[in-house]
Amino acid sequence: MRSTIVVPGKFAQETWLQIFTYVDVTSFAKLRMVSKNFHNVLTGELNLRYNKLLRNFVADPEQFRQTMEGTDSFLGGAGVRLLLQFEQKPSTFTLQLYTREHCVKTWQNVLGKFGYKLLTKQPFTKSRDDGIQLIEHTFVKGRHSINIMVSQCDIILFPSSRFEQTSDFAIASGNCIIHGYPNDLSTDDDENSAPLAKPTHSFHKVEGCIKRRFGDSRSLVVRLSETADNRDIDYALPAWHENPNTHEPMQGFGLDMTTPSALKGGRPHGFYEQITVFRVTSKC
Amino acid sequence: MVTVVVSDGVTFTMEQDVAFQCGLIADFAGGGGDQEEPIPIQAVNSTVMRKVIEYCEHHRNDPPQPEVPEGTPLERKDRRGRDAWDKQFIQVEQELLFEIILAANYLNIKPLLDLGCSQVAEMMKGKTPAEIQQMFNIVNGFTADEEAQNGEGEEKARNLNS
Repeated sequence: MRSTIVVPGKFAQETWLQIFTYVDVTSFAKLRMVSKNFHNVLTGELNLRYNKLLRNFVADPEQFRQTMEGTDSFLGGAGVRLLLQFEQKPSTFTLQLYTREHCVKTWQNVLGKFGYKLLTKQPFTKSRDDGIQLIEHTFVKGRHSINIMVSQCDIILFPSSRFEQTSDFAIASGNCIIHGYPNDLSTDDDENSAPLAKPTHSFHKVEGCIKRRFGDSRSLVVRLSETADNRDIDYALPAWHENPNTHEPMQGFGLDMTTPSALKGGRPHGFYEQITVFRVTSKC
Repeated sequence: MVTVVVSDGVTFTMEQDVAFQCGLIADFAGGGGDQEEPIPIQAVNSTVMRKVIEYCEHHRNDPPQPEVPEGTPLERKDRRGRDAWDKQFIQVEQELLFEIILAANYLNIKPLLDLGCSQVAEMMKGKTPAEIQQMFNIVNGFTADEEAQNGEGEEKARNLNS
């Protein structure tokens, strides 16, 4: 008769962590469903991995790229391709949203903050009964001409569950990926607001911080997290933490890896930890 | 020579280069000469210790492992010497595998710990959460609410992927 072994009781958390270092990060979401213990361990591990990755990236992007080359499984297909450089602020870029139509308004608002206007939009090839569709949007800033090519879009926005597909898109386009989609980024800045209520505020701070650190040639990395208190608001930008004295980001490359709900004492979660990466290259 | 006595009273005598692959034994022995008293290894039984010694004997002439940075991807970890012998060695019954991992952790044998952990990870590959629960006899520990949330998350992921 086969004996049964209660592994979690036998293995210390460090041992599980050791085991999970051999688990592809794409399996984390699934493994977190196994047990609460797994969930907690993996959530922490995921954050650690991303933090480490991003710290390395910031320290030496080129070295990091070389190191990570060909190791897609580490970050689930998208891998290092996520970590691309924001080399030049473009006058025009194309945004693909695989999302519901109402989210477009959100992104119009967000990009409007950076001076972009929605110029055109056209349905892409896929749409669904529930309203989710892939739409190509072209945003413009200033008076530059526009050259739209689907295969050369600059930003692709997908929910995290389409991680691999996003990666494929990014490879094809050679450009940028955003994982996750904030539904409610349209609120105005308000210093006194809670981070969850005013995510746009965080967005601005990310931008400002990166400017201070890297000037206009920079990488912009933002992480989106699922909110704990409203499932309909799928994602919101996490709070952006600065050292109040130096105005420098308090964690790594200006990334707050702590979910807002955790900060607010909400329930633990982490199923949707994501990284958003912008790489926008000028077409002008 | 180094002698150890394990939890079920069995003693093992090994040459130093074999024994000192176990960080714990090396610490006990203080890096010095032959020990007069057997070193007690209470957390490991003789069955597991035999496997550990087999591993250490096979790798006794290995050069020191380069430090692998934390967070190194699986492919790169695997490239640092999980050879055919290792793969064969770690093909053991599940219970013994877990005992080896625990022993490697206790005895501080990093390469063996890596080998065992990677084998467990391999076993989980491609399995559903339910299959993993069954395989390792894991009680999930989620409350009903949390379970429902997980279900929603899964459902959402499936929808978005469809």
